Amino acid sequence: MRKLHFLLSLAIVFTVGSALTGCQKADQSGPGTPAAPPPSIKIGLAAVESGSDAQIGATMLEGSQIAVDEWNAKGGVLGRKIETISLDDEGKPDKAVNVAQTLVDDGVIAVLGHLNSGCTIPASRVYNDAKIIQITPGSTNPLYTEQNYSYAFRICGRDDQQGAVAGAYMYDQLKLTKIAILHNKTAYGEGLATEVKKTFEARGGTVTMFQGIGQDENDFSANISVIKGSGAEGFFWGGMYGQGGPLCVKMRQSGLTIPFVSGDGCFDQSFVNTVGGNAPDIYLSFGPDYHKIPAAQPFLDKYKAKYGHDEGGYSVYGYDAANVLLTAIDQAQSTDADKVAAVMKSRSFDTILGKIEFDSKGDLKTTAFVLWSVKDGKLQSLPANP
Amino acid sequence: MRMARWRPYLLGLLGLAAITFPFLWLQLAPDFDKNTVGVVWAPQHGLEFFGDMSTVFVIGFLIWVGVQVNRRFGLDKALAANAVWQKAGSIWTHSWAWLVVPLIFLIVPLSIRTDAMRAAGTAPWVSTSTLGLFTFVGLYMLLAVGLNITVGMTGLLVLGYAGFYAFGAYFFALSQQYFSFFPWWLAAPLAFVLGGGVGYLLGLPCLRLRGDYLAIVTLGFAEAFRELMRNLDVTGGDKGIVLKDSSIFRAFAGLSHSQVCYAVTALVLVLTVFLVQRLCHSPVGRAWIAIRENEVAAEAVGVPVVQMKLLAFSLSAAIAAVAGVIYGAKDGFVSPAMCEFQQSIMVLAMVILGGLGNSYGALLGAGLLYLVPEYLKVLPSAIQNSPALSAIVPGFVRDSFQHLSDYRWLLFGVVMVLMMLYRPQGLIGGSRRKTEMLHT
Amino acid sequence: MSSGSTLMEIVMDGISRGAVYALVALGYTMVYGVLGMINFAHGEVFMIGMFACVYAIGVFSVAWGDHALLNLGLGILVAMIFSAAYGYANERIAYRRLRKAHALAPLTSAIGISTFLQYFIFLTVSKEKVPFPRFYSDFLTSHSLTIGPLEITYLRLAILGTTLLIMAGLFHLINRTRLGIALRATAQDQLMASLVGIPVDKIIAFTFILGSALAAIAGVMVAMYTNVLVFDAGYRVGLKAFTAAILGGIGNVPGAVLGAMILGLTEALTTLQFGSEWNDVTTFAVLMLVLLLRPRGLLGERVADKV
Repeated sequence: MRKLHFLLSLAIVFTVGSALTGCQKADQSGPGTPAAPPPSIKIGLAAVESGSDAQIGATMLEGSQIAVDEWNAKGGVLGRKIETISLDDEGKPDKAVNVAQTLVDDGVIAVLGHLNSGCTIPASRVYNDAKIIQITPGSTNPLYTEQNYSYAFRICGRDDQQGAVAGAYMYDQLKLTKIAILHNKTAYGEGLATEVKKTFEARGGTVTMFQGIGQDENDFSANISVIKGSGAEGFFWGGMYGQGGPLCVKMRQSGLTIPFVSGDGCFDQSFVNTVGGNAPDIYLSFGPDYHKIPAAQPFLDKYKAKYGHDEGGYSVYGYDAANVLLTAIDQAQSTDADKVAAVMKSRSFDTILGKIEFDSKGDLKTTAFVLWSVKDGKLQSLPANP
Repeated sequence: MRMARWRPYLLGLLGLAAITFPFLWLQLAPDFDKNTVGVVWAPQHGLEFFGDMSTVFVIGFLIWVGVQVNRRFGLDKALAANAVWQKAGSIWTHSWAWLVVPLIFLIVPLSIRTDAMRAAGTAPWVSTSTLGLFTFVGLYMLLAVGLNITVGMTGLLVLGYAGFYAFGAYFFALSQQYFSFFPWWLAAPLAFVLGGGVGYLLGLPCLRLRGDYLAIVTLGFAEAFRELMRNLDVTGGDKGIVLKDSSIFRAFAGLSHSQVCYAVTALVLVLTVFLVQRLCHSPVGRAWIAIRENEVAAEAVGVPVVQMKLLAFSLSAAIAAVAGVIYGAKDGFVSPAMCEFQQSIMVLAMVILGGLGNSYGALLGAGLLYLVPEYLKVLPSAIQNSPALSAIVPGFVRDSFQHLSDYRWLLFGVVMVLMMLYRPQGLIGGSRRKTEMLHT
Repeated sequence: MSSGSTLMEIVMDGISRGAVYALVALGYTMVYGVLGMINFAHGEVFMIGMFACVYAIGVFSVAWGDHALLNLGLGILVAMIFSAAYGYANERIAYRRLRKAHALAPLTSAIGISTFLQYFIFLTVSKEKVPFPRFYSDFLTSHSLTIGPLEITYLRLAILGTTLLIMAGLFHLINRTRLGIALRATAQDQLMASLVGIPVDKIIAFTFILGSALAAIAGVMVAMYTNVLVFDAGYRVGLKAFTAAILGGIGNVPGAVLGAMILGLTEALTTLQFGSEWNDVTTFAVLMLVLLLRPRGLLGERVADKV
């Protein structure tokens, strides 16, 4: 009797389900609806929208959305409207793979995302197999473009470049000979930290501590004691702002006034809020200062008008990524990934952050990482090194 | 007076309103210059919360109405007394006709040639993404059946089930990556044995004592395993292991890739359910039930309690490992995020929802808990596409569907509590099971 | 800095961690002793205490300005009240009906409530980390006591001192007062206790309230110590605290404290020796070791056998 109940319910669940999800597909893949407007081009936006990195992911997606809105106002691309499908990968690698597969099944022709390198790398395999262009505005782990995927691009620098800049800065400019490094055990954090270690040691410095700490760990006191004991003159954090901020605060509270250096993961207003508006001896590596670029102003105004809050560091990258993609599609006059990829690798693009070109691996040919510090309640770029 | 009966509930509601007041209706306003904090009156927060939950309230109300109607008119008893239903039931339990249903689930999705149908211009009934969805459901069903053995049949709480799942997946991934001569089809049986072994080792110290320790030990194992996989370079660290082949399964004999994945999962599932059911209806299963009901009495009657517990736990671990192998083979990707606590809790909730101790309950629970949130995601656009439904369903309910996936975990928690309070026998348990659960 | 003083600092870190775990573990162990169930929602009560304190400070700030000691002190009281209320609500809603049920029922119910509370705060307060207003902890963190090469902040002293005081108070309560007798009697045999005239329901409710209030204090101290509040803080601390309670012997009050200290020291020493990325692994290893060698915990269990 119970088995019957059970199987009936299961049958209902499955039938309804496939009807619902199947229906969806039917509406979209139906070939014959004569006088309907040409189907819109779908672009996937994938990034972390919940949890401790939510700020960065959200601003990135918003930047892309502004670009898409601009293009749609001009009539879309290839005569078709652009539709965005925005999904949250929660910053977790397996969710990212699910998101990737969902986007592929939804029929997107390109994806702008993800943010966390730990998510971008597994997802890229899915996109590559499905022949979908992927441009990440913020994943810096070198492995992403070392996989020989012809459809993978990034519009930001790489961790080996970023780590090299940070490591060099610490040795050359800050004149540190011994540093301690802590990372958050993710692909991004550990990757960046390892690059810094390599660069610093190559120049002759010593790394007195290299440890990892879990992403949901908030008690850094033991690590700080070890740092103190190791005699480090400087500190590098490979990780995100959610931990970087409290870590820095705790260090200062424990009497450690050594320079705190980190990467783009800490580049967010909430980091500034946590450490205080004028916290000294903090250095973050990030892309060039777009506030100093006049071409960025219209975008910043539009962003402020539409979303109200501060644009964060990544919205510009999201915006640029979307523009590059749509420009390439327009020039290739097709949504076929091979053609678009070929266009992307063949010319330079004018973006807010300057003229960019992609190399054969999908990386930018030239990037500049600049060090920023905290001043007057905001992040400000330091003058270029002589 | 009838008011007096409602008084404690009213007081309770008032108390709840008071303690949730600050979180719902106020918002923190940190001042970063002075490093202090203030509060602002922000009712939109609370209103949004209730607005989004409105669908849930509506559904809950409908369920309550249904239960009351059923109680008043004795509907399910009438159904049970109906001759046709009884005949169907006896065909079901006493002949081989029951095989029809699993066969339907097996054959239908596989026989639909999605490409051919698309070429013919008709919409496929079972599209690729739906198949992918169902394959995942199948995996979770497998996990639920496995967990049901320990939690449902033997009555031991396990909190770190995802650890064994990840163990199987990593075992497969590592064997593929570092021992490429290792044939992939050997991985599943070996994972079964190894997973069972790990379960045995973990169970040894704790099952001699209170069953409650098992929960914490398995949780600790899942966390420690996750950390271990993250720390060691050979296991890929946080990125996990991305195998060269994106999937072991390839399109085969005219079936597409996703159909093959589905077929494998379904076959393993049917096999497992069959074996587990046989086991449950044997002296071993009866021993497990005896342990669940009253351990001391079981021991007194001669049931080898510790060995039976170990058997149950090892078997559960083994099944989870096999599920892990299928996942690894299917996606070609494993990561430490697989053994998170949330995964374990989800499987536990599936077992509880369906009915503790009943394999079919586990299957139903898995199906519901996995598919319903997916449907809810799809529902808003499905309603939009259908003018009839758009007319019936009001706007704010439709909006709340959009946000409902944010509330998923909240609802999980509520469902678990409500199930334990009002229907601990799960969805398909009978009232006798309820008595067993509530009054030991 | 010499490695000797680093070791001492690490030991101090471990002891402070242990003290916090101890406060939370006491709640777990008391409830287990009396009811025989693991109260998974205890970690969430800890977390709600943290948030309630900050909200209270906010309200007071708006009401009469920023006075560090006053607002903080009142904030802690409010946190204790809120946590106690949540603890009581948990007991009343989720556990009371299930007292005579099979052990799985209240356990599952507890997990459900724990998930619900976590995500309730997640959705209504913040998805991200909320910073603790440092104005209120500055006077504790910026001054320290120097003993030899060791510098101990007032905050750490406060944590240790509070834990010791509470332990002493609890010991006195359980062993020297009539209320304590009632608690022990209820833990031993609920039926007999009720027959002898002990109001069992009230005693059980009191256990929850007391444990929750202690967790709230621990919560505020952790918030001041780590400077962050986040919705899943309770889950992590709860897991470790319960492991500590098992280490020391479940149901055993001094055992819980001992277990917590051992756990805190293990974590700190692992950071020193192997790196903090191995914390969970070593914690698990210690747990398994103790369970293998002394299955009833280091100081023995104190739960009546349910026959």
